[in-house]
Amino acid sequence: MARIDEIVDGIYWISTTVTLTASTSASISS
Amino acid sequence: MYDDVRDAVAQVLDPGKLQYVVLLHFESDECGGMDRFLAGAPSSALACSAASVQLNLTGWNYRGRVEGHEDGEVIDLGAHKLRFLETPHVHHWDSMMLYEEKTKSVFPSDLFIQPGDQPPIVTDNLGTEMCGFYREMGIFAHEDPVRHVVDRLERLDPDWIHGMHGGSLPRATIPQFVRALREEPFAYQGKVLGRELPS
Repeated sequence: MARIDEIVDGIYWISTTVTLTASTSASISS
Repeated sequence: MYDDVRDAVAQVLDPGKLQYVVLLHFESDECGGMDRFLAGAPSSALACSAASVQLNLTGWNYRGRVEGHEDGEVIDLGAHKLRFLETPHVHHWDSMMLYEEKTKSVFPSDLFIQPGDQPPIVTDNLGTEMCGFYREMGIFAHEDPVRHVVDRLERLDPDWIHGMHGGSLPRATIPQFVRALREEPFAYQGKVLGRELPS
């Protein structure tokens, strides 16, 4: 399960690990 | 990875109601699963750089709705506004970044990377580690286009930088990474993904 944290005002940090490094992406909720 | 990310998104909003999936550059760890997100959200569109459409999506049998954006164009989501920055050769020809105007957030793609597992918000100075990781991976051909974009990002005076590898950098941490990018070498030095290639 990927981790999700709200960083600032509708900007979320999603963390999941792939082969080379910790890979993250951010999603935006409107 | 797709299922994990989708499940995490679902904790915040219904993935079936996504309006956009934004592709910052064409690598599998950034765009793998984009077709599945789009298929699961019938009203969604793929948003990427105009160059990505011309160079990569054309001829790849992509059939979904796609928007190619040029520098300065804005997607207005209501609560957030996404401004597109075309950033060629940082680190691909068709690379782009996003600036979210409300939160003064930069989404810099693979710039401001931090190797290893990081917390959601990074306050450590990992600038030297970042540059070393870039040299080891060989992802930037040259420092010049990157430093040009760093100057541009600095003029935006962002409150946040949300990289795709690592935690988010708050305003106070950003100058340490910027300084490393200006002062330390980080371009290709003969290694790709840690492998030394013949000179």
